[in-house]
Amino acid sequence: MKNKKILLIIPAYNEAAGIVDVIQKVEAYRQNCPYQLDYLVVNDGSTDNEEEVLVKNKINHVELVCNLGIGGAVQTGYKYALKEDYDIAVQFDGDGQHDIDSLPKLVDPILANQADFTVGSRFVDDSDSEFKSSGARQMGIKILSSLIRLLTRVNIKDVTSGYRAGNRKIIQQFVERYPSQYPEPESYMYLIANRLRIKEVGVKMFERENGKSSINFINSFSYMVNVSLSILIASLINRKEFE
Amino acid sequence: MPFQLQILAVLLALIFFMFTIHLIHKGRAEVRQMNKWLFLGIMMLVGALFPSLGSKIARFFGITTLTSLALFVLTGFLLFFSLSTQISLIKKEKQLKTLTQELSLLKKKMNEIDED
Repeated sequence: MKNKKILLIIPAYNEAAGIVDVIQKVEAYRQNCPYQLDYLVVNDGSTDNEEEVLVKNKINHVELVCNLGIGGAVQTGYKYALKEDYDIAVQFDGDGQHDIDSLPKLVDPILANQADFTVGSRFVDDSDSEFKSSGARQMGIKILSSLIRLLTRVNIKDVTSGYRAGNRKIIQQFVERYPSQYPEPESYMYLIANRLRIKEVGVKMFERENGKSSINFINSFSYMVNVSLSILIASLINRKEFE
Repeated sequence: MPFQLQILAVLLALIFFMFTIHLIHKGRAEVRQMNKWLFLGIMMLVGALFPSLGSKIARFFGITTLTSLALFVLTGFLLFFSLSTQISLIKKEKQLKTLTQELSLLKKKMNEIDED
């Protein structure tokens, strides 16, 4: 397994308070894991002292010269993965929500060629996650998941999960096209249109330790409308476009 | 069309047309960027100077008055311009995103070389 290069893409916006803890956990895991694992923090033009913290602690990172939003930040990580020849790229939140010990569940199916893309889920049977998000959010996730299932017949329960891993085909595709805002649900439509194998695996997630979610109560309505529309329009993508 | 209204329409069309020419003349815009506004300015001028021509066109399309035709055409034009401006903005946003990403990755590489 050591011959496959794996990159953790860690987008972080104004996470100065918690990013060191997150990286310490990743570093501790790296020492004993069976993978050739690297990480890249993408500082998405933070306005706090995140850059100073990253430099001071010698954390491998790229500083975006201006804020691009979550989609642009994650895509930068995919670009880096492609340039540096990584075999697998894993998205991992910089706010401490994701459990690094769940990484094998995401990576192993790709290494075993059982999937091109894996989604870390809180809502499948083998998930040991106690944190499941609020009731309203779970309802929103169910609606989006049902919409994707209705249009594609593919069942992904945790469509908004940002803990995901992909092989080189995925890296290549996400470098070419990745939604700017609220990218997760919409990106499944491209993957499904491209006939890529998606597998949902149970992972552990925690409540965020620092910072705040990009989706609050006020913009949750526009989130649902925009994401649903994006999914509907993306369902019109001609599969041949990817061939 | 009442004479007073015609004078007002000619004046407005002339000001609009002269303003677009002025922008190009001062180098604040290029002809290729302003051609649709120039075309609209000419149409407004022709419509204001020869209202009978406009009335004939309105009747041909079953529109009762020249004013209704002018409003209809202008709304159509503005919708089209607004959409094309939005498309152009989206294109620029994508270019800016790519530039930011490539520049930031390059900056990282440069910093690494400096440290070595």
